[in-house]
Amino acid sequence: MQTSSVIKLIAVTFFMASLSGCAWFGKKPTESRKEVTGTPGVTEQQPVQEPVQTGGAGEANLSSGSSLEDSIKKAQNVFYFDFDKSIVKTEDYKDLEVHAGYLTSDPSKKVHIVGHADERGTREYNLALGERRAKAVTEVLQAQGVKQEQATVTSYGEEAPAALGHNEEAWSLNRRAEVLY
Amino acid sequence: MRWQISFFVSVTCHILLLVALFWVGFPHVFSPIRPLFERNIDIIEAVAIDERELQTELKKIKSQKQGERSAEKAAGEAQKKRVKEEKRLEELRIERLKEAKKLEELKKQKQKEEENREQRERERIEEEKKRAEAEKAAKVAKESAERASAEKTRLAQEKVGYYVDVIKQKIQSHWIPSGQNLSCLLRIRLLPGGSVVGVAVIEGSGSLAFDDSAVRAVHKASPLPVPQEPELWNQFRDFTVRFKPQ
Amino acid sequence: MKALDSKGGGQIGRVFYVAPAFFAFLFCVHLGCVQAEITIEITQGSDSAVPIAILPFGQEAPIAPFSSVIQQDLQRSGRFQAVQSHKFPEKAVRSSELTLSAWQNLGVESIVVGRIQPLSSSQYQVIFELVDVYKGQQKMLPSQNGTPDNPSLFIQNNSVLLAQEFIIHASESRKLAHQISDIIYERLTGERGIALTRIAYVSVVVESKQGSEYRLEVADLDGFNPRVIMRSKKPLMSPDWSKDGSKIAYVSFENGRSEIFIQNVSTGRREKIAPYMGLNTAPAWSPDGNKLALSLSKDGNSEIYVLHLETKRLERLTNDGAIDTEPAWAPDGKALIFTSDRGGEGKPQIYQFSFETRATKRLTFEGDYNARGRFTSDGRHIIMVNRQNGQFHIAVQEVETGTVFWLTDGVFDESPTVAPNGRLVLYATKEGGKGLLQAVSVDGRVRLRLPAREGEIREPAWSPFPIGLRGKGLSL
Repeated sequence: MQTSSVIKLIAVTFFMASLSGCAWFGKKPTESRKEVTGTPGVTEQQPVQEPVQTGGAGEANLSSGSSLEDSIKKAQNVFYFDFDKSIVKTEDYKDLEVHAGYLTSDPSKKVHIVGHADERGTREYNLALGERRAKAVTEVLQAQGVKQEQATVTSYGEEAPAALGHNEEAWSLNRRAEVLY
Repeated sequence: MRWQISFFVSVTCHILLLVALFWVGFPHVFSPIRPLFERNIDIIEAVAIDERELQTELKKIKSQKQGERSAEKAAGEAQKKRVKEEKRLEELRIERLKEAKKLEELKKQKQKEEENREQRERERIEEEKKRAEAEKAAKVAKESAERASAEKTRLAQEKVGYYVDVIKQKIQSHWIPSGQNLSCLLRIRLLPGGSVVGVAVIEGSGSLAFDDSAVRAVHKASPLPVPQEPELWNQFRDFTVRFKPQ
Repeated sequence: MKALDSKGGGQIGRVFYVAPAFFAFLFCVHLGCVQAEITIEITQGSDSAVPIAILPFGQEAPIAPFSSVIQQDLQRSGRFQAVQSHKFPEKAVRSSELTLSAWQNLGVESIVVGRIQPLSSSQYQVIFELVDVYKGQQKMLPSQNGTPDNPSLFIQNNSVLLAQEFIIHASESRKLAHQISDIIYERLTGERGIALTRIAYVSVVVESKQGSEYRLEVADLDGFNPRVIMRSKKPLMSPDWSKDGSKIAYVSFENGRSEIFIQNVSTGRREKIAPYMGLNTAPAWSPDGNKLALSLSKDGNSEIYVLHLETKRLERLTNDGAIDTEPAWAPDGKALIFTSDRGGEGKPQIYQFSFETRATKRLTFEGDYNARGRFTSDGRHIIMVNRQNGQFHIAVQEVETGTVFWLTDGVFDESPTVAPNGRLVLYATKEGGKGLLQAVSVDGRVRLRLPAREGEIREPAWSPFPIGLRGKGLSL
């Protein structure tokens, strides 16, 4: 049973790698987000999942082209998590500081943080896990002065994957929290 | 039936008669035969003693007579006296003989009683011995019979157990139970050879489906393996089966 | 008796074979209590499926292939093995036309015969009979005084177990065929059948231009009559049937976050019942139908609540910093089980909350991931998702002993839902990366795959027992 499952897993892994994995292979997260738009995500999420293009453009309309706007364009807005974990990685603090700075500069600014999980595990538990990840990101922002009412948190669990594969490559991209304006 | 009664009556009467005869006639019928011989010996002995006495007495008298005859022939009174004496002696002799006879009789009586007693004792011992022997024989016979029947029972039970097992296996292989934690009791009738001719639910489980599945299993398992030996087969012509999945 | 035997067997011979047997039998009856009787204990049976023959219904062509629908239903239950029609020794549409011995030789235990009579252009009379192939044999029956220990005579017993008549509209023919399957199933197994039940599920159809479409569908268990009751461009989740089968509660992301709706299955009318801040998810109807257990994160993190549907009063059951979700009711309604990772993040286990004691205790200990528990209808087992070596299987845990068995060996098996008769578990699995539904019996012996659909199928929810069509029992 075990060996057959392992073989299945390997087969699935290779199959998926051949289908989609190559698309991700060697690409940076910012690039990979492009692909997300093609996934069965939610239409409303599409613009914010491409922060480099649409997201950045949207923000440009919000405030007059300050350096904050530029920095927010460059900062990553998707933060990845380890399997079954909801701890914000220390290397993400730098980017989150940029977001916090942007939000504290104008308390009227709102941010929407959406948590996600990979497909492994039950859907309801993953929904809660996604929320916990989003909250972890929010807490980092709040620790840097962002007001509670500025941030709203939600979770899609495993329902809106960024990558469609059934391998670690895809899963690592799906365990995420997105900071959306 | 009637001849039986008369037969028994006559047999009983005969037995009673025999017993009565035996009881009443014992001293009269049987005693003269055997003790006769023994009495003769006694009589001879007794007479011999008396005669010797008599002889000496007679000798005495004769010598006296001879002496007197030569001395005094004319003594008539003496003669008379002598005759008288002789007469008296004769009487005495008869008396003594009678007494001896009486004594003899008494003695014989005693002897006979002793004889009877001994005879009875011998018979008793003999009887006792016979009875003990019979008892012993019976006991031995009984024990061996018991051993034999126990062995037979054991073998029979083993065989019955074997057939119970194979019947159980055959029914189980045909039973697709409809339900769990249920139990029903069926009575099964077989023909010689094991064909099922009757199945009755004598204790239902409360579930028709379960009871039916049990009945079907028995029919599907027909014919059931059964022993050929009549006394064993008898136990299988009508038996019960409990269906209780565990 | 012995004398009779030896004579019967030996001297008199076979000529008077029956008579001595009969007398011996009477003797047996009279001496029944005297004789040391053998009682054989049958403690186990065979696992195999019951061989059954479903004969074509007379004139079934105009409305529906009754016999094949019934055959598939019974076969799908795993309890029956339908004999293929080319092996049938005879044709019959009524029990009186059957030669039972021919069917016994085929190894068949039961036969279904039936006939259909058109009454008008759309009305039909359907009659079916269920025949026990063996019951028609000679049988000892209890005597008239009813003392069961004294079987007194042999009689020829009727072999028809069931005979029913239905008057239906042509459109109800498939429904009636399923219902007949259930009637047969129940008569032969002692349990209610599920052929007439329906399932709800979420299907995801990728439409390249507009993205994906999420559909909440209900269909017959055999996949026929699928009907979309809700369409959305955003995810739909966690359908659960009300106990009367009239409504479905589900989670919809149509407003950008998870909210719970209750929708009437036939009218489509729906109501948002959990619009709270944060997550509103995992609805579960109580057995009495008056309450809905759910998971809300309005107070900070996911906690279990009970919503009283009449009063809309919300009752909080858990209070801790961990994730508490996926509530499910015990069949008696006195307890809830739910998933919580209070033992460690990423290591959820199933806990039980008792309404009597208000106490919570952990139920699962096998492995580091047990979630989404569902009680079987008898309350004796919990069906759940268990992770083993990174793979997700459907497992069953015996409540009393805590013993766990794996029912499936897939990699992504999830969302188990238990049939209302407690026999089968329907679950979602992935094959070739595509989601589909499969079923496994709670004892693990039967596996079956439900017909494939367009798109990806996930999150099945089994309906309760539906109400069938009205029929009329015919005298046997």
